[in-house]
Amino acid sequence: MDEHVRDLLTDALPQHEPPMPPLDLAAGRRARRRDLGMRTVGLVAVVGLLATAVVLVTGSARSPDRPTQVASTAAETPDQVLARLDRVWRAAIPGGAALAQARADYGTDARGRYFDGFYHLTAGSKVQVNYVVSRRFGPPDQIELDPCLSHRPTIAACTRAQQPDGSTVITYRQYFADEHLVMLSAVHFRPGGVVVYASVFVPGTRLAGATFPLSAGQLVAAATNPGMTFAANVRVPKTKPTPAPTHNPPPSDTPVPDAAFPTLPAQHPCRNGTLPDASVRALGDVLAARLQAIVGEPGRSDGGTAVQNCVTRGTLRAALAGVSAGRVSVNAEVTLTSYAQQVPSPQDPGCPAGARMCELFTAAGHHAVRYEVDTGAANNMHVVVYYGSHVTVDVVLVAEGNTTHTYALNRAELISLATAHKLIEVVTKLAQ
Amino acid sequence: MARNWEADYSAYYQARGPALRRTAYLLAGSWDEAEDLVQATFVKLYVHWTRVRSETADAYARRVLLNEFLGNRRRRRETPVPAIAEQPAAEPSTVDRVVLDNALAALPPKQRAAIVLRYWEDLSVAETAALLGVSAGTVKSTVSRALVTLRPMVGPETSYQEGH
Repeated sequence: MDEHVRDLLTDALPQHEPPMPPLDLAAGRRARRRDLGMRTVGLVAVVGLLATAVVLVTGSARSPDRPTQVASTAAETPDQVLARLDRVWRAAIPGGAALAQARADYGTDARGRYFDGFYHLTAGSKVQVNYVVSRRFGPPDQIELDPCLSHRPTIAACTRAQQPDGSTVITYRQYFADEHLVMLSAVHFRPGGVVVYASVFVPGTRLAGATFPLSAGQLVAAATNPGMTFAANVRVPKTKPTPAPTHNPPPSDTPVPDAAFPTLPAQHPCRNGTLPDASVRALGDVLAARLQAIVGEPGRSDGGTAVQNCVTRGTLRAALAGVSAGRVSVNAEVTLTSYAQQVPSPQDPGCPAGARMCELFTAAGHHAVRYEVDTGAANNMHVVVYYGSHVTVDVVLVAEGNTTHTYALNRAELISLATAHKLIEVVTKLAQ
Repeated sequence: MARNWEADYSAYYQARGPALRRTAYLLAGSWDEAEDLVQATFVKLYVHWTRVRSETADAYARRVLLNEFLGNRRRRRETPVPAIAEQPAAEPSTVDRVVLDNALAALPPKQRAAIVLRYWEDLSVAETAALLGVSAGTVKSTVSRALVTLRPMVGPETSYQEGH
């Protein structure tokens, strides 16, 4: 029987192997340097954390900037502390949503999953802040995202409030009995994404509040490196939180021209070819809707956050936050440009202009073209176009030698674009 | 000094790279992905080469390759479209190969990995279990399920009854 299976596997190997590619020593050297760098950064981070801990413990009582109005006394119960903190926050933030100033964006990993994060604060002779990814969510449309429905016994006072702008804010408290911690959190569901506001409190200690302004990238990094630690800043809000950026709602019934991508409104930031940071997230919704109108699927890049899809005349742009080999590695920007005058068809395969290492071959009886795109950066884009009953396109982005992003845009999008008789030229550039 | 171990590393690539790529092909089902897997494997080998002993280099490389393969499969969100077999038009037994490729592609990644490790790499159940991070019993049941899927290709008499 073993021989049967071995024969089977032997038969599965094509008789003609392509030549082995040359050994890429440069990629190994880059990876080695990165590895050494990460070790150094880790060491520095540990030292920094310890220094921060000392500052937190020794300086919180003396600094005039410390939030003495929310400091607890030993006589107070955690509920009393919370009630007082609620009042402070509600006074500080009009709207009464009890949003702490502490803010941490939800992160997404390469598969588009959202990460929820808890701040794990331990009081004692050593103050240590660990970011702990306690659970992973599915896509944002799944009900799992709602902490009120998660049935976690530590979650209490979970409330949901609809905001005038259509977004939903969920606030809840979480108790960490073992650590004597209380966390007040608010999850703000906006059309363009999810934002978490959270603060951790240690009743009965001088450490009244800790804020963790972590970026989405840091959350992803933490999610993929559970031991990663972040320093905490202790402060109290003195300014109102920045309001959510507003954006034009996507037109729902805009007809999609057959030969070209739709154009954007005259005031749209994409007009200028730049995306203001503050409005990127909100823009994602508009752009994803436009992409959806074109390809019939949500505008989501398979490699990452997919919130920066930008469709302008003839150009679709998706920004990816890639995660590879357990760490955040690159941010890649992929631009697809359609050329209506160059129409691929099952009868007429060919190498696109500008492609290198273009190779025509046969796959399962169908013509196919494989080519590489010179991206002008330290990565390569391999594109394979299959001309079968319909045209399919595979894109593999090989970045930094050892980092492979497959399906920079999802297959359905590419198939849809390809079957719309538009030749796709893929250009990437790395934005580390 | 660094050049010495780089020379060793290069020699290892020349010696073991092709075999590793064949294993990667059987896992992934395409030369493109196989080369990506081997590339990623050798980059990681490079990083740790000075700590890898020559007698364990094969096992280490195999483990890295397997982790890369399974990791890649986990990261993919979309349902994979059945792989389109790559071969020159003139290659014989094209139909059989396509059917075979499709049968292998139908296996879940862990089943495919178990089959490749057991029958291509010729590893024992215990070694396969160690690489996959599962128990020996799990390896047996995984292989057994994979063989059920492949039975039309292997033959009706195939069953999995070994115990080592």
